[in-house]
Amino acid sequence: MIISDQEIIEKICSGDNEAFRILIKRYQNFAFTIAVRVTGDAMEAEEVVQDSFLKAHQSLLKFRGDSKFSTWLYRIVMNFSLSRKRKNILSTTSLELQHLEFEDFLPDSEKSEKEILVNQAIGMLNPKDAGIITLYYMDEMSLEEIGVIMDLSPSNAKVSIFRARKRLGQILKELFEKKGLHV
Amino acid sequence: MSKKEHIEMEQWDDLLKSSIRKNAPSHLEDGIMDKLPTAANSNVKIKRRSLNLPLLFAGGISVLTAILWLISFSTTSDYSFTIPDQFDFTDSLLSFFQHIDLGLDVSVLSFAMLAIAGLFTIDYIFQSLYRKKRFY
Repeated sequence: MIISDQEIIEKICSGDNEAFRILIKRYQNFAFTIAVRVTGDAMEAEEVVQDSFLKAHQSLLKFRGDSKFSTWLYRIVMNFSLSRKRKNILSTTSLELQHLEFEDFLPDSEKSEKEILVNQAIGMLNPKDAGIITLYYMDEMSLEEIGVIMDLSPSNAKVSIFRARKRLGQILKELFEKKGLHV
Repeated sequence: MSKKEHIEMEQWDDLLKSSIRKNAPSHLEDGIMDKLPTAANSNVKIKRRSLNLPLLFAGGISVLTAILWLISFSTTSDYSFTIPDQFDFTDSLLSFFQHIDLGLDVSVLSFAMLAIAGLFTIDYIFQSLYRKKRFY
C-alpha cells in the first residue's frame, strides 16, 4: 500500500523523522532534475536539493496542504535554483564559461550525442526558461501546478511554455544542423 | 505557432522527454538525512507552545479571585488568618466588595468573573484537542 504524502507529513510532525526519507526517495530525482537544469551544474544542484529538502523539513508545520506537497517542494527547489543561478551569473564574467559547465556535468560515457546537444541547448536558455521547460517535459504537470511553481498565472505559464519551447526548438535546430544530425 | 513550427516542435518533444530527466546521486538521500535536525533541536518534532492568552486570562482571573478571597478573609476576621468555624466563600467575597464599596452588584460581578474564567478554560481545552488533529 502506498502511503500518501499527507500521512507521511503527519508522521514527521508527530516526531518520526525517519519518515522524511520516504519523501526524499519519492521526489529527489525530480528535484535534482529541476536544480541541475536551472543551475547547469551537478554539484550546485546537489547543494540546492539538499537545502531545499532541509528547508521543507523545517517548514513542514507551516505546510497547510493547500497544494500538493510535491508542488510546494518544487517551488522551493525552483526558487533556490534561480537565486543560486543569479548569484553565479553575477560572479561569472564569461558566458562561454557557463556553456562549458553545461557540457561537463555528466561523463561522456553516459550520454549519447543527441543528449549532449539537448543538455547544451537547455543550458543556453535563460534559467527561467530552463526551469519551465523542465517542468513541462519532466512530468504530466498541469498548467496550474507549473504556474504555482513558477509564480505565474496558468495563462502566463502557457505563454511562457510556448515561448521557451520555441526558443529551445531554434537552438536545437541550429546545434543539430551544425553537427549534421537529424532528430 | 504556425503549423510548420508546431510540427517542428513536436519532433523535439520525444527527444526532450526521454533525455531531460537526471537521476539524483545515490549519496544525496543520506546526506539530507544526516543534516536533519535531531530530536533535541527539531522544531518539527517539538512545537513550542507560545503563551496562550485565554489560559493566561483564566489563570489571571483565578489568581485574582484567590487574592480577593485572601483579602476578604483577612478583612472579615480582623486581619488575622484564623479560620472561622463556619467559613462561606461567597459571603466573604461579598463582604469584601461591600468593604471596598465598588457600588456594583457584587454577587453578579464575582459570578461573572468565575464564569468568564470557566469559559476561557473550556475554550482552551477544546482548542488544544482541535489542534492535535490539525494538519499543519
